[in-house]
Amino acid sequence: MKKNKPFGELFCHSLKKTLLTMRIAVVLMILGILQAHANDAYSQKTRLSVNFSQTQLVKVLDQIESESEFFFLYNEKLLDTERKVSITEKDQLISVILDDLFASTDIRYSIVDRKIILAPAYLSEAAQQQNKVTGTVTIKNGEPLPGVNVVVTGTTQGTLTDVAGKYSIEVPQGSKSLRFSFVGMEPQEISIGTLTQINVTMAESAIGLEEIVVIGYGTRKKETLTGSISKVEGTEMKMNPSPNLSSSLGGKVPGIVSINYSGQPGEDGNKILIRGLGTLGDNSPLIIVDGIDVGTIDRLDPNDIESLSVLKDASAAIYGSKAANGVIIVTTKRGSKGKAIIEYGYNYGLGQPTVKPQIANGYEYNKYVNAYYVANNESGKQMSDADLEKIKTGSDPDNYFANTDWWSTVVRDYTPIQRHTASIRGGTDELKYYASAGYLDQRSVFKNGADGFKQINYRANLDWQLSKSIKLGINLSGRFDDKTQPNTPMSDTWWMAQSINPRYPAYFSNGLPTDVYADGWNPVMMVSDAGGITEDKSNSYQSMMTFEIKLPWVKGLSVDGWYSMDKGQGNSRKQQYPWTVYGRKDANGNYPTGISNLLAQISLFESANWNSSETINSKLNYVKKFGKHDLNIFVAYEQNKYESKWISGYRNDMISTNKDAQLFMGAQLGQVANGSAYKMNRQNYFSRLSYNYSGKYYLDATFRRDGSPIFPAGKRFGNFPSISASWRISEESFLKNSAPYINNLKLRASWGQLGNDRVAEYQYLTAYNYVDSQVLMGGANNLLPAFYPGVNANPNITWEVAENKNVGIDAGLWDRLIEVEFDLFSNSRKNILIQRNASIPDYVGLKLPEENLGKMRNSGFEILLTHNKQIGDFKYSISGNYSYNNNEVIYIDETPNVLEWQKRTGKPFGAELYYQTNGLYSPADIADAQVPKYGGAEAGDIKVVDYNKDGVINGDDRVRMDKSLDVPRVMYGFNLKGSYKGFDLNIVFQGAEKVYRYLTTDDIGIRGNFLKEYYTNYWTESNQSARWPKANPNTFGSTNNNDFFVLPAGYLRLSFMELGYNIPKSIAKIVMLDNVRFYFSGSNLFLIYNKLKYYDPEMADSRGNYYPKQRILNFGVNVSF
Amino acid sequence: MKIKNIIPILLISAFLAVGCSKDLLDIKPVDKFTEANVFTDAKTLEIYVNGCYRGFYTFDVLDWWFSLPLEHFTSPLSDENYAKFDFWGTWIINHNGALDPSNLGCFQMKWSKTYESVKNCNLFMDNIALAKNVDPLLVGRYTDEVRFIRAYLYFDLLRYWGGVPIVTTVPSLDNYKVTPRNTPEQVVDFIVSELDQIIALDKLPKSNQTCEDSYKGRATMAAVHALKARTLLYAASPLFNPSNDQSKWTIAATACKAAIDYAEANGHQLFADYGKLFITPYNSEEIFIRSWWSGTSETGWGWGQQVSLLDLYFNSPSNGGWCSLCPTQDMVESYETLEGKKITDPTSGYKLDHFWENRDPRFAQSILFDGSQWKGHKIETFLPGGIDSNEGPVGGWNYSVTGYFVKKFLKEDVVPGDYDTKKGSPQHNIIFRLAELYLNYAETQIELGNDEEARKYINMVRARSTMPAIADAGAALKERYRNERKVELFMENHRYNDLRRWDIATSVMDNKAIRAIEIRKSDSGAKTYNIENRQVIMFPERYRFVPIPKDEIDRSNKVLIQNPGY
Repeated sequence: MKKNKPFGELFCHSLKKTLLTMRIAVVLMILGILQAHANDAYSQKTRLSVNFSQTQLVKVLDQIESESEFFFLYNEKLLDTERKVSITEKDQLISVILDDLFASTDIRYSIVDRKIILAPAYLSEAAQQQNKVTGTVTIKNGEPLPGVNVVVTGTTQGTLTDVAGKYSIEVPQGSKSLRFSFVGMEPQEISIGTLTQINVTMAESAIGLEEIVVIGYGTRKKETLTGSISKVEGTEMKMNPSPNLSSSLGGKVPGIVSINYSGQPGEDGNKILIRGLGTLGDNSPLIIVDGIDVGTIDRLDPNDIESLSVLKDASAAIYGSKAANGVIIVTTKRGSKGKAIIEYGYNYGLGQPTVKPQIANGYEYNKYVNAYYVANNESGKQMSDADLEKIKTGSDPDNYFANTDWWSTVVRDYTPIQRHTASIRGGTDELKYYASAGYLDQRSVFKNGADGFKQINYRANLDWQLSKSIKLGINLSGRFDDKTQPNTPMSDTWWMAQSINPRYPAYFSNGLPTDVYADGWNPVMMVSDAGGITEDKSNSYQSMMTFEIKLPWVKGLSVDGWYSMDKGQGNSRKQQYPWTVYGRKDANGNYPTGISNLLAQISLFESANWNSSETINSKLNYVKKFGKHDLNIFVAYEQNKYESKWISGYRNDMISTNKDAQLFMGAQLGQVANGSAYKMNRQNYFSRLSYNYSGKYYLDATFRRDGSPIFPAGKRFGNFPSISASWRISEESFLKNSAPYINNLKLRASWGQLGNDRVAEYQYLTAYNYVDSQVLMGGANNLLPAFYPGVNANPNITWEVAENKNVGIDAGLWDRLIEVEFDLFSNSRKNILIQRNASIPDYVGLKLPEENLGKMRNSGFEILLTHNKQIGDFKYSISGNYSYNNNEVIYIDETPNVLEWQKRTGKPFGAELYYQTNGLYSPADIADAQVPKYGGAEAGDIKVVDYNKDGVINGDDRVRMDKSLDVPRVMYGFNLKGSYKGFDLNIVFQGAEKVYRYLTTDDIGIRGNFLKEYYTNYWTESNQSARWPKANPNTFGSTNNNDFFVLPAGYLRLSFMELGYNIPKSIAKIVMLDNVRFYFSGSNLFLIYNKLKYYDPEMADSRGNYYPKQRILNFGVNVSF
Repeated sequence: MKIKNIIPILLISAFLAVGCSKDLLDIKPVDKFTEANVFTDAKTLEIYVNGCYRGFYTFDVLDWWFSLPLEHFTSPLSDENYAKFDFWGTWIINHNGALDPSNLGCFQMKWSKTYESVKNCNLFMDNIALAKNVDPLLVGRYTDEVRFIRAYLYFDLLRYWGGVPIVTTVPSLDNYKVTPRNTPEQVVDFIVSELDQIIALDKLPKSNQTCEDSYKGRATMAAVHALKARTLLYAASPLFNPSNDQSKWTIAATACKAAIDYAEANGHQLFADYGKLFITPYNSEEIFIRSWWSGTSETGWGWGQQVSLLDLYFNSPSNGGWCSLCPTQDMVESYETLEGKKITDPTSGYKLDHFWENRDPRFAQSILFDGSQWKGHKIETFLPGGIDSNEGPVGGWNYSVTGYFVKKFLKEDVVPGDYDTKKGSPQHNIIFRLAELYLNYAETQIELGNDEEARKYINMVRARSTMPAIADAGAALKERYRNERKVELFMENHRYNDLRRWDIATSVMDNKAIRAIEIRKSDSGAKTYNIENRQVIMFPERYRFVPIPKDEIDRSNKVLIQNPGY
């Protein structure tokens, strides 16, 4: 292929050849098959001229390819392409040229249409021999696999498959089995028995030993890793078609704590923690996509992901600042040499909330309210039995004796989610390309809901091998998000959907919507666009230019780097107008219009924001091999400039509710304009030295020096060293000889210091926040601006430092029948920025800045066990992962003379003071003066433990909680994968333990409906052994933190399941396709157990007032051609 | 040279060129200001002073649900109102006797927020020397404004907690002092000396009646006098003056009279209509107020926007309100008959089934009840089926526990809970008004035995509401005065403080049930009226002072001494 042709022409040239189907299994090997209708006409009539003198063979072949439609296929290992040849031919048939080229070699060629296969003679000869066992080796979709090693087990006797994937091998008497192996493929061993034909289907190895892992500014073979790094293949991320990528990680990677906080379209990101909580402040990991810190993986198109690495220990230190909470590195797909492969995927999913809270019905709720009136000395206000009966029978809904299931009234049974993806990848030695586009459409979970999310994304990654020593790359990607939501806050809507008294109908029987609480609110209106919608559009564009240059002066010396410019732009448009709801029919038979109708105001708020981020990175690398020593060094510089800006405008009294209405259509009186900006720069120097001896002993050392402008001059730079080492015991000859069943055994250890500056910025200055419209003075509605002093300056503020230690062991036994990874870690933080708010009283007059004071330790372990096996065509793997982490405050500001049980030191970070409880007060307890009680306690109220036994319930009885609220200490998962012929199955279970949730109950009773559970078992005179307190809002629980409502929230869920089927190639061909795969899948299918019972255990809110996590059922198809 | 050899050289040199910015990290925040540009400029200085006025909002909270603006929150801690919904646990714990230093509801925040506001004022005092290039007249005015605000903040601390530590400068992070409590006398002296200093300099505009419109709402000399008068009244009261040192009353009397004279000399007079007094902004009686936002805004309610939701909180169910506060039967009974008789007086002609008839006009101006005409219809609290009862059209949660609703402060044309346009209630929150000064002065005169002078000022207040003059003397006058104060200043953050100040809160409130009216309507339409007991309220002796938050005591390493009884 010519290097000096323009891009377009090159591209077309490649396309011309797409008639042939191509597959790339690994970088080293090109595979192909013959089309059934192939003929030799082209080779018989095409004539070519060549003229080379002492030129590398590869260049000659390239020249032929570029001047003709011929295409060469060969195994680079078997063909000496560097061989210098001289040839001069004029207008000759290809066969003549080839005869000349390979005259004195053992290379044989065969021409099939435009395809020329080059292989050593012994391969061709093998095909002609007639030996004892023959067969064909193919890959999953039926394509033949040439070059596969076929060895009689226990001997050196072996052969390779030919271009058609066929092999033939002489098998000595007594041989038990044949072993088939191929780089990047799962090796297989098949018993011979009496068979004379053995056909084998090879599968790509899921976690191959040759696996390449991205480690941050470089890649490593998995076997040579020194740190604790987990990898997830892009294919696995792609499988889970959940609309938000962050929700696809749970259960897959040991050490990742993934918590869903919302199912709202466009807002459904998971909180991801690596190894739990490490610091007192921001605990989120650093997310790097193709080298750039992007903040979140939420909206990445899973189809673009080549692989995802999770750096959990000191290996993250190469990212220095911001890396202390771990790093997730995403690498997107790139082109690879070969014919264009076009893939298309379509996915249709149906979502629904995972758990529907069971709420008391109208009868139950109002009976409970009656009990409340009695408790509050208002028995006269009880609803009569006759009215309660009306609710039960539903005889009079219009007079507010309905029995509305509000949840079901607003929540749909199923919500559609669709995703289209398309990609093309391919390339030549010089130019490789990958391009993709995706479209996601996610609808509201509500009936008539106004919320929704659409995303369009594209990506183009180009690699251009300019010459042997220069490689350039261009990465372009973009994303357009469009999120809509109704104007009422979602949390209010979910509160209403669960809490409205069921006695109100959603609609009167004549169809008018009800003004439920006389404030205009009714969930059926709130979820809809009746009051206008807020539409947030955001566009982002990423562009990056990369280069790699091998420097000519010193062998092994190279420079590489990139320049990236990312731009983002967003618009928000909030249009609000009144809706109309109606009150109960009055004496005249009219339905009075509700309050919202009285508001004539129509308002429009628009805002726009821009951001740009510019990163420069350059790196000088040196690679040297001498003897058994292998050295790899780089030094690098990176800088980033970030800027953002927003402006907004608002007007009311808009003359139109039209969707296209613009700001000028509103009143000038009361209009508001606003805006602000933000700037952040970074400057980093870093280097790494990697060394290994003989492939057995590995050492990595990194050093990073990061600058952060949020600290004062002189305190801005932090130095972050790390060192890690591994010993591949399995490479030692003593083990190789004595225990051949050990394929892999490695010990790892790492230590490193990392930085964290994700704290409130510029605390070395006493900053004054300027806030407009703050104080009203000088006449009606005259809003004046104000300054608010920020914190007292802390001139000494600097980096928070993490010290991460990790030891690990990796083992693979019996040809990967069993694989184990085990990691033990202890991360300690010092200089954690915290306020001295436990020892300095407020009245002293300091507004405390954060100071580098805190220390904490987070330790735990992770284990990953995998079992792989193949039985005939049935292949499966089972893996289980388990991670445990526990954090402990080592030093924190404590109150002087703090009570022992109230100390924060030694407890998990964030542990609050809770009263301990012991069931409910019995009438006997109330009568007994010896039983300590709080003021106003009555029988049936929560019984609080007098912890310090002083006979009084007061603040001293509160105990620092030792339970982990919200963040699980244990996360675990199981992955089951199996395939049989065209079928494949993948199941992921995800579980969490040692996690608790604090259910808030403040609205229980008169104001809001509640869980049926509370109704079925609340305290009354006749039910004194009840689980829940009596009906009375004045319970202790509503004003004090107490452990009565702290409930265990462990769970195990079937978080993902997929069954796929690849239709046979022969059938796919009929419709001119290469590969067709159908699949059914589901995420968050069901909870195997849920200790929390009443809500989804991962709920974001303490009483379920949030957009619930979604169960998604999917159907999808992927085709490629 | 071939192009492909030029490219790497170009690339490398480009990188070297852009990659070496030395001052890359030398950036300052672009969305904030720093000292250097706040205190040196007249405009920014004014903006800083504006921020200090936020000190008057220390009860406002971010959590607006069921919350009340400003200081109406103390009303349900007294016998004026019953609060249906809780407000940071404040009412529950106060009512059931559980108020303690680790559980004190919004007083926790009141303490911290007030001291934070003090700190903001102190920061101004510490830095005002930087304003060398600002007009000294302006600097003087600003200084006195801030001095007044700080004095008010200390008065606020004094009335809830008693003697508190006086902090007047901002310490540095490595050199701060944890000072002990000052005595109440020292706090009073500090407040008075600060106010005297302002009076001596006389740089503030005289009153909001005479100042320019743009200045309205800011500190005036009249307000300074009023604060001094009230502070000294508190200082002379039994809670702070248990030995009843008469000289304290004398000093208070002088200050109270001076405040009245100053106000009257500068345009203040009683506003003719008590019913409109609280919904007529900048009327002649208002000496110092905070005002609320009533326009529309895009960002909504909350602390930041100064939006009051009075109309939402107080209105009845049929008017779209939440009925957060329910006036008690006790309060209702405090209103005399038109003839100036107590309803318990057998000659008053009072009948429960016509309780609204022939009453002090301030009753119907302050409280809504069954049959009141409001917003175009009648209030109905009767059962069954009354539209404002728990069986009303919107029913259930927002009915009145006592059968009454607050009317004072409400504007009939304000739509409660105007969610969509985020409109608030426009009424001013009155901190000082002339009638209070009259009553304060009257109280000092009663204590000093000058009954006639006392009656004169009490009767001026009564006359405005067409109530007959009183002629009581001695103990009876004192009793009458206290009732007059309760009625006139209903819900203006006085009752709770007065009861404690007079040291009678426990005897008035402790272990007594909240009483309510229950109205039944028969099929024939006849109504029967019954007084019923609701929750029993605790007000133990120790409630005379609010406890200092336990956190503060602990953090001070017990340098702070807790109030007695906790």
